[in-house]
Amino acid sequence: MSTALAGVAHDIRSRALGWLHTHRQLGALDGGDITGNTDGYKALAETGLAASLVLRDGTAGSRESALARELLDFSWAQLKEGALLYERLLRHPLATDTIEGYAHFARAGYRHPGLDRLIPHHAALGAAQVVEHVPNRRLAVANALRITGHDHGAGAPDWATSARATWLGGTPAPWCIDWMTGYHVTHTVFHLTDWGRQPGGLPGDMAAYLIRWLPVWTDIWTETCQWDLVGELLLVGSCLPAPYAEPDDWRRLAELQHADGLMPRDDQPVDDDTVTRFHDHQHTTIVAAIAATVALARALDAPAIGTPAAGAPGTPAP
Amino acid sequence: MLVERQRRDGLTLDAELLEGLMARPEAPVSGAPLHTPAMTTLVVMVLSPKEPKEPRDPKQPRRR
Amino acid sequence: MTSSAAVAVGAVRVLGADALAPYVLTGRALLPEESAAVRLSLSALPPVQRPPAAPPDGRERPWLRAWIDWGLVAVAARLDPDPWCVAAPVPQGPPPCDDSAPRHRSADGAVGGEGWVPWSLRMGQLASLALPGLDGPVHQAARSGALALARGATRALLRRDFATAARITRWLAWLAADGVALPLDVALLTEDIALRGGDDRCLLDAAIARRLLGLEVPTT
Repeated sequence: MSTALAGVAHDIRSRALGWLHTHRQLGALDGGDITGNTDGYKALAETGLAASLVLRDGTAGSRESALARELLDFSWAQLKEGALLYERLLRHPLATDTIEGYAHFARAGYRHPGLDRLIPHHAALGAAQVVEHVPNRRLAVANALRITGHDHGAGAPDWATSARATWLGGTPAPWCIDWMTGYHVTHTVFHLTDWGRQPGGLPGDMAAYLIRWLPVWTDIWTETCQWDLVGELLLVGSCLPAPYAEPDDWRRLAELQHADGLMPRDDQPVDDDTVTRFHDHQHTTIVAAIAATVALARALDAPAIGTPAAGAPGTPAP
Repeated sequence: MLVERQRRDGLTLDAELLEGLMARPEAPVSGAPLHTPAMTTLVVMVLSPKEPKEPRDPKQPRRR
Repeated sequence: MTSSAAVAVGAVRVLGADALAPYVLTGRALLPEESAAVRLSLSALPPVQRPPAAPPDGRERPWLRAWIDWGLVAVAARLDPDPWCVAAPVPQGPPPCDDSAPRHRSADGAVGGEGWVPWSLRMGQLASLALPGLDGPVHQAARSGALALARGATRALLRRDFATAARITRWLAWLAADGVALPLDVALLTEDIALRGGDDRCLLDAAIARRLLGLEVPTT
């Protein structure tokens, strides 16, 4: 990613964080409980994720770091400093969402002693393999155990098997994809690479497959203005061993982003009501913040954007 | 369609119209997948089970 | 000259070498009336003697016609037992499109050149050249653009633009017949388009692709 593009990404992230921070109260948990608040709970966890990544990669200035901290403080307080996650995991042992959510707070330094004891026990029970999740969700649990340091010993996740079980792991005909599968692909990459921290976590053939076909999927969903998915695809590009990024994609996102930092999820009119707007477009704005964050981290690591390796443009896809 | 003028000695084709027909532009609107409609999970049993309600209070143990 | 014959003459030019595809694929000699129709079509509007430069520099439509005319003449001259003196000059080949090409030319015109999206669409316009026995600058560009073609075909298919997908896939099939290794399964791609594409023009391209791949042509 060139210096100019890094500037674009930085600007996107800065505005997105600002919007998320300004309106964070709208994400408060109704009644102070996770139950019956699935969307709100999910949004708090994703806010924690985004903020934790901003702090993780060390590309944030003091203003952005402060915003990220306050987003974490707010989300953690909403989750009663982890107590809601802990109680949920005690009551519902198969609720791996608690582990998945907690990992990002823990990474940023927000710990709950009960969860810290309970999670290694669930790891030993085989949490990453036992629950009948779709394969990319298993990878989410595996990554959460990896982040919290409980991925060794008896309960070590079987990364290879779970990775191969995904759609991406089968490297299928590239036209056998739909919108939902697009999200399965993105999440597979996020968890295998720990949100871009470890591009080598992606098996070589899957990386080569993505280099070939990611541009196609990015193109078709850009054309139909699915900005939420496109944002995740840009993030995938930043997670690859040889990052894929096209300048026009980032410029487009910067232009689409509202002045206050909201990133619209598609080409439909954005609602005027503050609460509705927040719930409709929070996810996409979070995605933009994360995509920009990882892009910046890779830009600072890699000396230059190499031409994307074609992999083996000879052999038919397995 | 193609305009042809019949002259005494034969036929002419209009270059611009011909080139217009040769140029086959791509479909102007994308039919790209937005969403595959929700697929019902087929359950082995004839009636798909409804989730049992959570008991509010723990049951009192039965006296034997 | 009846009006329907006149229309047929126009149709031959639009199809280019594909008008003679049955002969190319079966190796039968051109019938005199077919030969006459092609010659008549070419005399109604002779091929340009100085074709324009390749796009994006030159104008696209006359350049496409120059190539389609070249293909028609090359195939007709080869198949016709009678000698041909109508010449169609070899136009400039398309620029190459390698694996590092962006999707579209970047807005600031920086690195990458023309993108694989417009490049593959243009190759699709020249699908009538993707026949056994034809070779030249366009085919050479196809050889270096296998990934661009594969991406273009996949993109068209996902957009449900079956006609475009079929045309671009013709080139992939031609490359397979030429022994070029491909990044996807072109037989599956061809089948997919033929089964889901529906319309006649797309089926013609799919049938030619199948023959190039050495697959069985369905009798229905």
